[in-house]
Amino acid sequence: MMLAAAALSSAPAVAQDLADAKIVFVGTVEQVGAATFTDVPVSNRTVIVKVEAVMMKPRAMSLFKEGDRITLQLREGASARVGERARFFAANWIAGAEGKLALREIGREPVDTEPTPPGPVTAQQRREVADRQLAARMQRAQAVVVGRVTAVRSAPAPERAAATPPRITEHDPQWKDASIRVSSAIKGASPNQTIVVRFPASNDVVWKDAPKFRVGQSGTFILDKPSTRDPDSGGNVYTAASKDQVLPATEGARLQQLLRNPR
Amino acid sequence: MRSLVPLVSVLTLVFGAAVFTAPPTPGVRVVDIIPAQFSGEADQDSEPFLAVNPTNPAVMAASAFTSDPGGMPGTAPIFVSRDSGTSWVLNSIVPSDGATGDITHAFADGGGTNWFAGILSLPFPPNDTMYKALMAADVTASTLSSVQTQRNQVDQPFVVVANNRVYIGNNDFGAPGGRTATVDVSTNAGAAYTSHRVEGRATAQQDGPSVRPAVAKDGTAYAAFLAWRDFTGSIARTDVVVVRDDHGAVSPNGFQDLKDTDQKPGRVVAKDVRIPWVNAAALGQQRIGSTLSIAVDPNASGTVYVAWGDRVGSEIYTIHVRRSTDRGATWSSDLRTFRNAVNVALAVADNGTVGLLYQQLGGTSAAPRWITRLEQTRNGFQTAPPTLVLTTTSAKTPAPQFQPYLGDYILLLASGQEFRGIFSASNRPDPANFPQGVVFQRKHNLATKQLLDGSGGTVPVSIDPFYVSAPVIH
Repeated sequence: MMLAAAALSSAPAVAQDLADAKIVFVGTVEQVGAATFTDVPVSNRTVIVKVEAVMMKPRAMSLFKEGDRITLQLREGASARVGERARFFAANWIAGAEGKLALREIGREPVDTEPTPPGPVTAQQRREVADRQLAARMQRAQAVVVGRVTAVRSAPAPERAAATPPRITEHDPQWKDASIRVSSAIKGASPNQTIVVRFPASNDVVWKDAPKFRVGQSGTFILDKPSTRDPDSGGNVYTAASKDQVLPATEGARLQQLLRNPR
Repeated sequence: MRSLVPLVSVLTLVFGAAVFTAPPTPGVRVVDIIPAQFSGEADQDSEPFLAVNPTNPAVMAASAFTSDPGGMPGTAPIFVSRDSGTSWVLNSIVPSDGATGDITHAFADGGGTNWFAGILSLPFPPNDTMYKALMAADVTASTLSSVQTQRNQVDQPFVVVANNRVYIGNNDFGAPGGRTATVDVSTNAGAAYTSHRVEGRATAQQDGPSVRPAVAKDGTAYAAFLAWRDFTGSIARTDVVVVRDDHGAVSPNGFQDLKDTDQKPGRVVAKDVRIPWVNAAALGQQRIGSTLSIAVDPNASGTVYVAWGDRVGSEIYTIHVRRSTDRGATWSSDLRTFRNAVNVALAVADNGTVGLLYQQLGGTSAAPRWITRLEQTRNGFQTAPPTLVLTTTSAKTPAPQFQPYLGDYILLLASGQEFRGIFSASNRPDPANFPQGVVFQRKHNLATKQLLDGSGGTVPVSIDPFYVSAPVIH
């Protein structure tokens, strides 16, 4: 299927507001102000879309496939016309029995000029969509490096008021600092530099999505600066909130290419 | 959606020997609430909770540590049923990023569809928690729940709604003097809350995480909490305490009506017990440290039950059940004890029948099993009650993805002539694991005992939330 291979190869990285979408599909609007099942509250923002090609979806949503008719809630202020064909970036909304799926639109790209795919989406085409999002993710990262973890130690205790006793809580993050020796700096660092990544070592549910680092671990690391989630590092400390931010070291060259020449 | 019950009958006939020692009990339903659309999910959906709309009991909301991998950033899902638990959909209307840190909830009991929740919202602020009290006008709608109040430093909010009031037990590290056990009460549908500090004595600089309210129809409000008196190593020396307010805790200084011999608020039900605090696999891959449940007879507010977990001798963890029939003034000795059990939930039906849902490690050391049981008693456990085994699943598989493995709590509610509850367990679709039968919404193959992704592939076994309903005995 030529669909989208040609179109994607010349397309830029997706807009930042679409970069976190976990569901991407090509489809055609069939009805406006309608829904495909009764659990969905119908409004002028709900439309029925015939799914042509599923470019990206979470593994959990295994029933979502080409040929489905799903309900899509358009983003605030957006409209759609019957017959409109687009690449939709979406999020899950209501998921039920087989045939009962409603999504929320995050954004869309027109594909009216792209040919209708003659067959199932290939793995390569799905990867191209994923790469576009990955490029966008790297653009907002503070550093992207290939390196190896050389040390892991406890992070400095957070500052507390003198009168505040330590808390005993199951949600204690148990902060640790991983030192990473950079072998290849793709963005925001220098080769041979050692950078520090602060991470929660806790196995509590609150920290389940955060990658845990271990000495000797190699990888390609997409890193941010501390935000509201992380302790005030007060220095040159990075964070990684999602396991998606740690890729194999062998991915470094490809990521460098993606960042320089987004599809 | 297929039930295993017919297969059980077939197996019994075909193979002669009964698969189960007893046939399924009529009227008992066990439903895996993961919807078919999520047939490919293999996450650890532990720590479940359930809310039943008293005005329309066909409508229920359920939750667990269920994330929505395809969700909108900044949202988390709950499960919603509109047909009394027969089918469930996942609806992403909770304002938290991907999942919640903790979540409990209840529907308004004065009519309508209002739903109240207490969550720990993700992401956490630096070195702290973010507690939010939520309200949704309709859990079946698309609107994100509104945040009615929020503050840092709070752990394990536990929501109960009764008599048009919202009660949220919580462990508030912002409470003065380390007396952290707290119940927030709203008399105006969550528009404003008053925090009642229910700990009346010195603590080990804090109480345990679990603070559980229970309220009778006449307005009598109880709360149970684990009063930590000392914390050394990984043992919290604890008093199990119950407080009471005879007028619904609508005054500024609530929960002062039940005093102990020291004339301080809060009757000590069990003094100086040892509670192990193990934030890692301690019992069948599950952490331990803060198991607590309380239930009051809705029509006889003097009768109240408490259950908690602690360490007895060299045992790992033991659950105890006790009762008071004089408004908490005096307490029985243990009516029930369960060695190696982690989660317990009590409920009292309108006719006074007590329901008790719990999860206990059984089997052998080589092949341990988590066994979820439901007991009902008409005589306050004066005689051993009949026990229903709802699930018996491997305690070795699946491997834990995080803690808690099954959850730090489960729930049982009385709804008319039914007990309705929720618990988490392994989802391996093996008829032998579900003696009362089971309904799976997600794709599965009973013959091969496999979960399916809908396109020919298999899905690894994981922990799922299971809804259970059973007729109240008379």
